[in-house]
Amino acid sequence: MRKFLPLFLIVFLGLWGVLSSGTNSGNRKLTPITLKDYFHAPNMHPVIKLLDEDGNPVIKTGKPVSTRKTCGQCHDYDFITSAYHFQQGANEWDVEWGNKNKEVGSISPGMFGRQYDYPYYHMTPPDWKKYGFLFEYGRPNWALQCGICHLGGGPTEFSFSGKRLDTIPEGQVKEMDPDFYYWDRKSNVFRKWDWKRSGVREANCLVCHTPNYSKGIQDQRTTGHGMFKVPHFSSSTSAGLITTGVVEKVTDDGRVIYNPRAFYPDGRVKPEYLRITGSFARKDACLQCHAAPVINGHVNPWYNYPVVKTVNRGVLRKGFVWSGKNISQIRDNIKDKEKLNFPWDVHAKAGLECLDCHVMGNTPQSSSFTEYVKRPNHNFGKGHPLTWRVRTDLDFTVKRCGACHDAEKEGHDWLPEKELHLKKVSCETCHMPRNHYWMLNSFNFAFPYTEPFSKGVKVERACGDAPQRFTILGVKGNPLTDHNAEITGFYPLYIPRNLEKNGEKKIVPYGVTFSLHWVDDATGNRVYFSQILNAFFVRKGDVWVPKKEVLKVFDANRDGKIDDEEALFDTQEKVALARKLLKAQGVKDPQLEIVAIPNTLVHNIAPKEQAIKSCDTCHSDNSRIFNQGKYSRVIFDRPVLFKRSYIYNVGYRGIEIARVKDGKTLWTNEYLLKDYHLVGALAPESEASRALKAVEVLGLVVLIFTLAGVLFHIMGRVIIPKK
Amino acid sequence: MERNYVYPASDRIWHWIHAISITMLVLTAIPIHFPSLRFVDLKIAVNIHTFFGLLVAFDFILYLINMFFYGSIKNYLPRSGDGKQAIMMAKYYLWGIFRGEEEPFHPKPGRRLNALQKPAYFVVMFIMVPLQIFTGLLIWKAAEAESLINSLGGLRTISTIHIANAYLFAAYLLFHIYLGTTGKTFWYFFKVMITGYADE
Repeated sequence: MRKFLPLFLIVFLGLWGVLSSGTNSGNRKLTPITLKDYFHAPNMHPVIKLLDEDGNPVIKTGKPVSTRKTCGQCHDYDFITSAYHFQQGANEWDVEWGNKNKEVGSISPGMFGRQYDYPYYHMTPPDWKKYGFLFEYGRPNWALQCGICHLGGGPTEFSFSGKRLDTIPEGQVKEMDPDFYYWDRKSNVFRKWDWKRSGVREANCLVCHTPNYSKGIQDQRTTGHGMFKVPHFSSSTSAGLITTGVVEKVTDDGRVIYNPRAFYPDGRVKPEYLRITGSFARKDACLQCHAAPVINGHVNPWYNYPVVKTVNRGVLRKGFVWSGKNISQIRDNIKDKEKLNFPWDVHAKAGLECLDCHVMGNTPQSSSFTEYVKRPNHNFGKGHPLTWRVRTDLDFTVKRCGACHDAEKEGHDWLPEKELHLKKVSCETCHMPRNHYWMLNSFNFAFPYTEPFSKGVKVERACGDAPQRFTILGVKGNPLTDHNAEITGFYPLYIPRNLEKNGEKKIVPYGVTFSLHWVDDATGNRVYFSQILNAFFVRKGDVWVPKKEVLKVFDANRDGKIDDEEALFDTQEKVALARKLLKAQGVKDPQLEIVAIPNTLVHNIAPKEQAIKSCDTCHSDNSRIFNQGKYSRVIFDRPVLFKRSYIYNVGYRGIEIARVKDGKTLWTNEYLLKDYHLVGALAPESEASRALKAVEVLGLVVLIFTLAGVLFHIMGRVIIPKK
Repeated sequence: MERNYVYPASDRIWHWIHAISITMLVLTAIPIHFPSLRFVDLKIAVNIHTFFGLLVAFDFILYLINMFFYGSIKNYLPRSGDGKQAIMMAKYYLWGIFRGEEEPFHPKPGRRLNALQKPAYFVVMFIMVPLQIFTGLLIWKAAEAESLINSLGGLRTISTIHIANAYLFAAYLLFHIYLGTTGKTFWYFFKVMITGYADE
């Protein structure tokens, strides 16, 4: 024993030294704990009981978790879910909304009810016959197909009349009531949904406030895919808890088998299983729907891939990757990535999170802490989107660059006409010079895919169960099926837009997707998808096949299928046949439209060294602002015979944004930028640019004649003999 | 040979400031209007163009003061016999000059412009120069003058006028310099504009 004593003492003293140095705060700087750190502490949230819809602990009843009851113990559930993120226009719906806002067919300003191009759908309002609607999308359609992103509360909980859907007595349900009926596109029949069986979708608070929660499994439970055979709504929140260990299994009839080891005897859930975050959501909460994260060195464009094979909307709409990692570190096949030694987004690298700019409607500082805990305002700061008009009273509440940066003082002295540039050009125009990922370029809804339904990879299952004809921008090949497809990235398109309240319009970069579709010019309403299906196709068994007369005109290579290129309306014969067939379906005056769906590119901000500094990027014949030369955007590789084009916003209706040139259908922002003059840049074809071209030609002629006159005069003085 | 003091110092100073400025403006307009030529950095070209543009504007004010307060305007006023003189001058430039004939007009104090120069310089100095200064200032201060620009048809219209006028200036400059070489000797008119003295 004695011989081990020195060793024992050394070990003891060593340990004592290490431990004492660790607690010797006098020698170390203490990092103050911020409010944010405090709320990010995983166990900040109290240990809670999970309650079912009757308010009983779920561990005792085996029923699904009700967030209304569980979270509603301390938080004002109805107040929280009144925010636009949950409602998506459902609390602003008005059957006349479309007529009032020159968007015939829309019944709300948001995702619930406004016509949008992915999905291409008409939301059916109550008393739809009275208002001249056809029945297309019922509320169950929306819950099933839009529910992957829209995780409950609002439109999937309450009816048009504001009643909870699973409490409406059977006797009160009218025939073809859009709260209950839905269109099954596969079988082309209308069915009635049983809300009592499926339950309603209460807001899924856990998907954002529980770090190890699985959105993918709750998606499967909602839509009846993967490990589930049938859709079920009320158990979808519980299903996502499988990955936390709180839930072991969810049955197809909606019963939930909880893990008893995850619960204390009194029904509370042990924090090591359910680590609900505090005030702030989990760090990747927003990315689940809005942007692609980088996982294991790969950009992940999917929602919870491979659980749900649906592309993230942020990628679809603008190639939005949110990561502080350098692009060169990414293992995906990104063209010339070795040269891209800078992060996907400088703000991500700096550790900013979504709520730093998309600020909450209230904070512990802006209201009392008790009030904040009770009624946290989930109306996150929003900009002034061209595409969406939900809760426009909250526009401009997002923090813009000026909240942290002063462009007047920070490093712009080199810029000629600094004041003018800062006044007319948004920060992102130069600081987001190129997107290095891919996005959707165009849809052809005028001639949809039908057979087979599973052909190709569906762009977004949430966007209807009919696959869509689409093209992708910024990649060689199809990145949805080929994970080694070379990603080339894309240049933004530029649209004038005011980004600040009472601010003037600036040039803003946009990710724009284009949609080709039919509209009934007699009513202004987009042609219903069901009318297009029935016009061009016939049902054979479980599938839709093109009519013979359609094949005769469209199927150029006679392979019995309508390929993507064949489906474009590039000949008068195709348009004439389609118009005839659509008229037979009751469309009075079918016409083709191209619509631009713009999404601001305000993320993916490059480091200042990568910002545009070369004047001729914009001030030259290849001006990227006017989208000329290499910046041109091809909408369709064929000359589509559309009647009109416009951009998705009431303010810009009537402004043409597409033109046919050199056998292609191209984007043009000439009419959007008609008041803009860029020194050295020749605007695309227009009255103004033609006038300038004429001036150029005349000016050159004058110069040449002057020079020739001078030369002749000199010759005369030399040649003609003097007196 | 008798010599007349035709161009006082004030006239010569504004003329040469103007001459250098207009030349620089035309030269810098090329890389601004055709930046892809890349022979001068666009920023440098813009700064030089702005500097000489402002100099011309300032110089034009001196010109107007000289014109109206010191009586130079009388050189531009039509006189009897201008019609005949115009025909004579035209004949001289179209034929006589080739045959080595003497120029029919000799500038004198108060009558330094011939009947062809009067309307030509009037158009240049009272239409083209002010128009170019005005449109140039609007383009330079486009942010501040936005409402005025819009009321005049927009920046593209203003810019198109500025460019069209610039071509005329370039042609005029070429023509003016060439005619400067048609004196008794190659440098005669240049010397006149430097010394102020012209032969009787």
